[in-house]
Amino acid sequence: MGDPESTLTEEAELVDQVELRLGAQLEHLSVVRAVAAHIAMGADFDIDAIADLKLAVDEVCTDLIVRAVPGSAMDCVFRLSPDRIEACVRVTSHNDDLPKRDSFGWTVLTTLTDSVSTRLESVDGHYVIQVDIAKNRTATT
Amino acid sequence: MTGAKEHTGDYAHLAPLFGELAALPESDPKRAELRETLVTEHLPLAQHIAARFGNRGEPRDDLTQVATVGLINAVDRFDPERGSDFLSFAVPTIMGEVRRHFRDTSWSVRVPRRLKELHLSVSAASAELSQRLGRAPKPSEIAEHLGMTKEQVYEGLEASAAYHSVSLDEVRGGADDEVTPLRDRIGEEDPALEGVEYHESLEPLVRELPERERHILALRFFRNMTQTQIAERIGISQMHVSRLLSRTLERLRRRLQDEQNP
Amino acid sequence: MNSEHPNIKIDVEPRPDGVVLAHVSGEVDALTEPVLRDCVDQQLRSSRHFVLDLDAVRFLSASGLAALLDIKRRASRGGLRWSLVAAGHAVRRPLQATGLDQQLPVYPTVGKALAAVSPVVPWTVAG
Repeated sequence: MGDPESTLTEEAELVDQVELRLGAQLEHLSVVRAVAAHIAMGADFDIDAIADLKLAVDEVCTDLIVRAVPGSAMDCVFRLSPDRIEACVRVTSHNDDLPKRDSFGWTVLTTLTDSVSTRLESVDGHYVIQVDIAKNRTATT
Repeated sequence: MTGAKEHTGDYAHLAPLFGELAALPESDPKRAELRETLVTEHLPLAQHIAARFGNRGEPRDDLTQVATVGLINAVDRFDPERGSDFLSFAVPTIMGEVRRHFRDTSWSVRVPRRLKELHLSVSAASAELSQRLGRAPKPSEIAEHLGMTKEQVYEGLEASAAYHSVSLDEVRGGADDEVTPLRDRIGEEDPALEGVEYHESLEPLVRELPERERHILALRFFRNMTQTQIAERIGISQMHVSRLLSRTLERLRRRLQDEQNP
Repeated sequence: MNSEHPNIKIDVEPRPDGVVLAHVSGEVDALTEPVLRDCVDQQLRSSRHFVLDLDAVRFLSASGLAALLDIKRRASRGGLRWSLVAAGHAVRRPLQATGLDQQLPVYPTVGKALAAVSPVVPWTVAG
């Protein structure tokens, strides 16, 4: 809804991609977790990596849901490549606060994933915050 | 219970200490010392009872600890004024604690048996494969190891280790801070239960029981319902429940003995 | 006061020795974690030692881990003993991966966790 830059990609790129759009509400966390876990299980990640991805995705979404404009949507895109799963989550926010890098949640996130990055765009007087994480096939911790 | 009785003589010299303990005022520092002596001296009793429950899948030192907790409770709650001797009070108390432990750590009857078994076998396979591979296993490896499909493995991985006893439900629902102790709500102890402690080793035998007997047994053991409550639930008389229960227990007891002394 | 949420369930069992054994089942995430905190608050308010049995927890989030660290802080401030039971992969993995299993009183079974907080008695003698 009113998302300025659609995350929908060309169909050709969708083959190994799963997109989810849901209300930015904590109630939906379990749905996103289930999808993340299912993708990782389907890709036959080891059970530690599956658990790590599930936790990392949950943390990213939790952090972003709290920042999102009430009643707005959260977009999640999962991309599967032979060696890793990437998850991109974005929400629209009233302010430009990015997730804090010295927070406990961020520490957990960096511990459990192989890469984490954030992006902030200013669009029409509000902000789009995006967090990208990637989890390699084999757990690193 | 009889097994513990033969040790009565070993503890006779401790009996006067309970009188001393009861006579001391709450604030007396000697109380702690006396209490500890009583607990320590009776430890063989706890160990003896724990040993009786051994070989049932629970680590022995865990059982000893649980039995010791029961012993402590017994020491704390024993009233020498009542005239009974400590052992006849302590043995059921300790056994109750151990039995409660088995119940606490046993699967809820509400968990579908298939899911429970799936979860357990997937967990066990994961642990075994982790050890063998030196890393966490993949679902495909677990599937191959167990000879099941990946879908089944997913299901097992996601299944909750729904672990606790149904009877705990009954604890809830009181006022916020006043929670009635479980034990106080359990109601009268069934004399027929003595000598049969519910545990997984019984499960294969229980499974062979007719549906109604199995149901009654579950209500009695897991829900800790009284015979009267069970009678109301099932719609038969309390006498009938009583007869069915003792017949079932007798049958289980005999089967257990057969298994132990083939 | 008594927070309820369908995704989490806590069965509180006060034991005769004064220790409270709380069986937690379901998912501990940002949504349900307050239920866990409430439950622990009650134990802290009434100064009861407690065991959190997380064996039936299917998912433990970063918020849940943070809650456990907070519980540790507050329990030690209140001078209370506590411990937690974590056996299943769903709980063990997050604790291990974050190294929190080294900082929290984690035990593999209810028996061991209870023994760790039970008042009195020389466990050394029992062993």
